Amino acid sequence: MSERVTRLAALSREQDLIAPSIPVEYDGLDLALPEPMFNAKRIAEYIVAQPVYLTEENRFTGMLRLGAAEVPADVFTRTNHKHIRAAQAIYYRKYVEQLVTFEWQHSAPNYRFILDHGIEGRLAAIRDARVRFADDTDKLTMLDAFETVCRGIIAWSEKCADAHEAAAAACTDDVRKQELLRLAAACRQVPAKPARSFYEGLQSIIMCFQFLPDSVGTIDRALWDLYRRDIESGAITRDEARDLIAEIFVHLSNFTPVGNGNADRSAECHFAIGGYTPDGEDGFTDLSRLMVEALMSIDTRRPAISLRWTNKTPFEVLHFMLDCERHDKNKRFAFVSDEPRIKALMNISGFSYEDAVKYTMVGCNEPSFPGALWIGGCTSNAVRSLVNTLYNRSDEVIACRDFDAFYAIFREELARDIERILFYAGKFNAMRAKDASVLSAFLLDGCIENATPPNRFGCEKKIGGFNLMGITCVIDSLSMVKQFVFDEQRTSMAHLIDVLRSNWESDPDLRTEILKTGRFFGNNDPLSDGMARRYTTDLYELTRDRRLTGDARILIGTLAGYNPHHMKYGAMMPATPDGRFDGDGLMVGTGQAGGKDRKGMLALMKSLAQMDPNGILCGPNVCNMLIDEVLIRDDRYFESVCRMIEQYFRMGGIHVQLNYVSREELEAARKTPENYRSLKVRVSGYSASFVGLPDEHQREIINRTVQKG
Amino acid sequence: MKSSGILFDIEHGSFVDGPGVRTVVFFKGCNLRCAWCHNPESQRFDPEMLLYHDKCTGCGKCRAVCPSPGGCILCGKCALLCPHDARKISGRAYTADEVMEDILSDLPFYENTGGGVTFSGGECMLQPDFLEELLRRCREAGIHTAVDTAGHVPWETFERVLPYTDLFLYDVKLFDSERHRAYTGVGNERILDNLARLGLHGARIWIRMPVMAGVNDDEAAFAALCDWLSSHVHPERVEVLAYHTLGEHKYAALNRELTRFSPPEAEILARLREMAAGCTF
Repeated sequence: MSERVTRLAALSREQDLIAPSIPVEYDGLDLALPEPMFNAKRIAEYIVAQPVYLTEENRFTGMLRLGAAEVPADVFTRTNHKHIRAAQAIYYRKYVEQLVTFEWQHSAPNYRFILDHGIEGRLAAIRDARVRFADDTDKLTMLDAFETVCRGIIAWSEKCADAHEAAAAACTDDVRKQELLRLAAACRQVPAKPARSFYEGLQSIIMCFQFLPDSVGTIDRALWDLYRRDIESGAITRDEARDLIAEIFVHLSNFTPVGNGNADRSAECHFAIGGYTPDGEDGFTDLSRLMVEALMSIDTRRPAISLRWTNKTPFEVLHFMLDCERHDKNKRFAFVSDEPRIKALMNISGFSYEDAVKYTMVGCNEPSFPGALWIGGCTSNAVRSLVNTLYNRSDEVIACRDFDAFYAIFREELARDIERILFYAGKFNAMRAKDASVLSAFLLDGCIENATPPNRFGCEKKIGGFNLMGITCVIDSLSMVKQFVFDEQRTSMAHLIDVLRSNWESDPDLRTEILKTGRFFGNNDPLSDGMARRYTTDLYELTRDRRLTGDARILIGTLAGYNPHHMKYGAMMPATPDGRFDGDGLMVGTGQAGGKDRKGMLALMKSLAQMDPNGILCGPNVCNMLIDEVLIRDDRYFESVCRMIEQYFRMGGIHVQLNYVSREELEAARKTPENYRSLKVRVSGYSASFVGLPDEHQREIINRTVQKG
Repeated sequence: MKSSGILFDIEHGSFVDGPGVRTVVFFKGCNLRCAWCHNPESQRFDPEMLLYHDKCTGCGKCRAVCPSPGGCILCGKCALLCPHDARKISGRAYTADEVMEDILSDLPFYENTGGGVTFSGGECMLQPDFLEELLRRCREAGIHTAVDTAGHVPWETFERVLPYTDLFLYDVKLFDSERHRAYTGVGNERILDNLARLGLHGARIWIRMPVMAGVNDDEAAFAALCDWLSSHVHPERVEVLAYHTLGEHKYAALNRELTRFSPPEAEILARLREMAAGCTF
């Protein structure tokens, strides 16, 4: 890696690489404009007014900050949109009905379109849309707003070009002068027009990123043609390309500034490499590898990266990625499988194969597409339906003669909760749709064609769903009811409910017996594995014909995001038949914890890989594995670990992220956090400093079962 | 033949007991009494109770459910109800079908990692009928097999398992027979003789040597052992394993006397490993 990128990375950890914002005096008459135009005019004026950040050695330019400005900015950060703020006030971390709360909704720009057609391609689409919506004043206003933003961004790029040309004129170093002129020329070309080189492609991306500062999608695909052309022509070497990518990554990481509360976490910028191509081959290219090499060369918190594994991914590629993962102190790596997800995107979400293979990971671990949102953000409590069954309908369940009768009641509660989740999701989305979020429309597909902003679900591709906290608790509890009450008749339903109501105090021996002999999920046990399949099948059947706002079909995930929702919901839930006490936290993701997975790693992987026959959990599903550090660090065992993970995917696993710090070390970090500032862990689809996590997250990680070899 | 045997554990997902990812079947019962044994519950052939005094709170639940206060009949009721995991029964009878079901469930992982099943202990060769059946059935299923043994059994037992065993993990402790007897209770003549005969048969052998400071970390003696190994056995690999204390708490739980050892110094361990690497082919 070049010294300049190393210096830039070091600098980014100490100071912002973006010039301080300049306030703008807006025309008071703006207030008379319709909301989309009001927003667009002020955004454009703000952007063009900002200072160009110049250093002695930058090779890219154009980043600015929208967050601090009094302008209604992008769809992701929701800055200064009044209705989303109102919706957040009602739903964000409010745990409505102990069932729902709302979170970030992530997205990815379609950089491929911008690289191929430039913003001018979007302006052409605006012209076409005006013809189609000639009689619709609101739509025409929206299109005017989109165009205003586009022209503001083009003007900003021209301003950057001017600044760098001026800097070149004053520069006495010939090498640097040529660099500045190259940068100025790039700013004249992109993002307004198509990128002509790999370098211009990167400049186009860095210029556009800030207007939708979220996932960067599948940029190895977006840049592949430019890269290959420049490599083949000799216009750039592989080493030069890697160095440029590393510089871009430093800027992406820097965008969430050190002072931001989320600066330590990686989910704001997540991209995916590999995966199936439209012709059914594995898409991991030399550029994919180069991006990983670039990431490994710099000490930054972001971007995070997921390898999309396929049945055709060479083992060497998985080994390379896992090897990088074990050497990455910033814990930026995760692994997902295309095998169940492509099927789910086709069979559940309704995409063609050619579209499905374009998916990317956004945010913590949400699936979406370049040019689309993940319509979700609803983090829900899976345990409520179980608790309602046992506590509110106890007379009915006590009268059940067999487990199927009990399960039928549970299923009614599950169906009711799903309806409530969708009801609240609809209300939340209706509130946020009152805003006119116009800035990022040019990066998303369909907003212009529909003359509808992304927060009103204007994107062409509709993908979304919700997250469930505590599904392992539900699967285990149902399994315990079946095993102890019906199959083995070790207790009666009436007694079990009485004991649960007493928080196990009236019969602690029953809890001990359950914990010691319960056939819990994660042990490749037909009882609990079958229960998992029954439960996920019902999730599939109960959501199959339902739609989210924007007509998105439903996928389900298990991640908590940055907030410890799993613990908050757990604190609200009374004792459950899996041995959980009143108020105990729930797990993040799918998996097992607390030593309930007694049969080791292989059994856990088999249970996980086979738990979801329909692929309904191909939403933002995370699977955490805490593995004995020796197995990862020692080369004698590492290859077998890689092969084991490959086999987990072959059997149907959807996701895995690894932690391999010992429990003792985690406990020590809690006692003396000052000694463990640099200890990074994977949390809920993102990485973070362990000692900086909320107490609930720390406890959840420590409670995961360490898989030893 | 449908046999059964006494096991004290089946571990799914071991990386350290042979190549690839393995399922390890731990047989109960051993005819050595290595002073440093980290699995003392593996030594006796019958099931036995471990009582972890440090976990016991004296709640009395075990007494309340005990059907035989005059003498433990290993019914397991106390262990089942102990809320603090202070009591545990080690060992139970397994049928071969039961073990094979467990082994076969990991088949896809063996195939993808070059792994298989390892029969360990205790001394698995002391339940030869059970072991032979399991090995044969694994061979029929195409599963790679390893036998982890201390080798103090009649050669005829090796002859029974050889046709079905892909790899031997052979424990060698001390080259000097009298010192071997002092620390393990038996001399090493038969052990080394069996090992040499295995070598002559061309069996794949990995030697495993636990090393304790002051017991078997003398470099000259170790060199002599390595010379013998390279000339008589031709092991594929020699693993030098530093002594660890992970099994200490189990001695108290079994009410047996613990002898403490120390691992060798790091520099010595490194030199021993270097020597060991030199005697492989």
